Amino acid sequence: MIAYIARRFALAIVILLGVTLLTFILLHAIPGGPARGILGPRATPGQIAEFEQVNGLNKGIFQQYVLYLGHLLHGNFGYSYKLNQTVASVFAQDLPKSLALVGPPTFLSLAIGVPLGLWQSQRRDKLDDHLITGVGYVLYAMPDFWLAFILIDFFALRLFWLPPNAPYSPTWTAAFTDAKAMILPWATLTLVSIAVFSRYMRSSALDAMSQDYIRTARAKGAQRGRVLRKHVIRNASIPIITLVGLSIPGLLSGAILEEVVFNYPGIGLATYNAALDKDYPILLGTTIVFGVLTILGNLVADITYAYTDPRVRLA
Amino acid sequence: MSVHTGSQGMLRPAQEKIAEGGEVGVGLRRGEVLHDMFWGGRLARIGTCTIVFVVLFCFVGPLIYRTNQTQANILQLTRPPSAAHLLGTDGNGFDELGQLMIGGQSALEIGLASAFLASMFGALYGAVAGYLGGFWDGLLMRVVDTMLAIPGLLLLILLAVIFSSSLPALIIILALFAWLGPARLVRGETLTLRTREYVQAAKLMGAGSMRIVVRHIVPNALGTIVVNTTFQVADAILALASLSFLGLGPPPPATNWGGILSDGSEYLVQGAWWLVYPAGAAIVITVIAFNFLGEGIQEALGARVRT
Repeated sequence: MIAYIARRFALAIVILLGVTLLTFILLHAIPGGPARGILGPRATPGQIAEFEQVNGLNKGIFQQYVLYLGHLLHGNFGYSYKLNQTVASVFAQDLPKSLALVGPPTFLSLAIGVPLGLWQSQRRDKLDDHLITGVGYVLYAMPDFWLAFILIDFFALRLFWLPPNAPYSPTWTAAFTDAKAMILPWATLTLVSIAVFSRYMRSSALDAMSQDYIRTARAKGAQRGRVLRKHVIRNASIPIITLVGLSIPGLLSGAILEEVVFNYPGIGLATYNAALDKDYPILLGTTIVFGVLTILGNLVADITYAYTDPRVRLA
Repeated sequence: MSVHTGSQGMLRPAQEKIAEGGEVGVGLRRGEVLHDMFWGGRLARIGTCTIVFVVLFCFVGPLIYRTNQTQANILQLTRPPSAAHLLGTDGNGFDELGQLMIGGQSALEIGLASAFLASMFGALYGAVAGYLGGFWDGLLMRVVDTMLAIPGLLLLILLAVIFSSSLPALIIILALFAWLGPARLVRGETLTLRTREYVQAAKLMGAGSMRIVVRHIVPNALGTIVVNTTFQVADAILALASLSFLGLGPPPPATNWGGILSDGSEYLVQGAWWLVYPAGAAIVITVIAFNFLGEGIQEALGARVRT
């Protein structure tokens, strides 16, 4: 087990280094060079020369990368001249809000999607199975933001049940104190994820049900319910762990779109504004932070998986 | 969809069931394979019909349903559907149905082009990595892992901001985001293919690595690649819509379904449903059609794909 964890850690660090190398390359791919990109089109040659001197941008490319890594390790993600704020402070302020946006839908969609997929596997090829699969297919093919518009149109603009915007507040707690305004954003993300989880759980459960040990258990005379509880659910749920880890990038992408639609001031909205402003430090910083979240998520998922299913460790 | 490589590549999965040896494609001709792929199962048939309909709608539609899509008409802003404008008009006074047709053209063109590009590059990359193995495989695949660690939409935004979004740039950007899947798939396929007798035989005859990859491995992974390309088109159309929604799509006057949706959403408060629902439905229908077709082809080829 320890060897497995060590291997996975080493891989995570290699990928993390890869992400920093990628952002470093992109930083230098900015038309006009990094100094011009960060300071903006109205910076004077003097300011650019000074910026390059101060930030070591006139050193060799390898030295620059080492310097860049050093900054990142110290939590220095750069400075946004557009917002007049360090990138790290933008994250400290906005990241918790984004987590408050994606957290509840993740749990909710698991709590609904997994049993739903299981239900479908038991009702295979019956009308309700086809119906749920069909709805899931449509949700899967739907742009997240379109689903959000539909929900807004119905529940906010026509029925007046819920506000069309998420709470616009500097603190993350607003998501829970003003939960009514979060219902639509949460519902959108939940619906999209339910489609993914139920679809996966259905095929995972069907897969488990076709295994020899299920037939053996049934042949021994175990009741259907017992087989389902003791064998099917246990075995079919394990791959879901990996799926949760893998779905993190999708959730974060979804968060960017939802935050724009609902005007929710998390890291996604900050990224969107940064994209419109060509605020490179924020964009590259977000890339690293999202990369770290994804890598961590996958790492935790892999280790949990190995812990629950010893067969994986040996593979 | 090109089938220049002959039936050998296309038939591999089906042929496996018959024999492991060299009797390639016994009794099945190229035409039958194509028929099976696009017309074999129910899903494939629905997918094919829908795609043909969408293509006709986008490319032939404007010839029948003639609308003025070049001059803004400020006297006809956001009018609800009527006999003159079947789906109403948008915020520029353009006929919405006409906009959908034009927007669909670029959505399909960009989607197909980037999916094709991504599959070609990804397949070659994966085949090279899988064939070389060892250190190079490790290095090449860590590059893929690295890019997969960044949420796709964020990567798209970054690339679109850095390399402004002209049409060719946009196609390349979407492909840059999409080649990772095929690279992984084809690498996996290559790992099994490279141990086959015909690859060993080619190696014995003195063929170089590049020749083996291009002439033997890629053609034999073609079934996997074709299925994946179909899914890629759907993904690319969705990605383009998201990017356009964020204002990073092709700049006006060019338009596509995502852009129409984004512009239309501003009028949702005024109750202009016709600017939001049809464009979204167009995206969903097209994406589902390509997914159906992909699953149909997959069934016909018996290949197990989709990461």
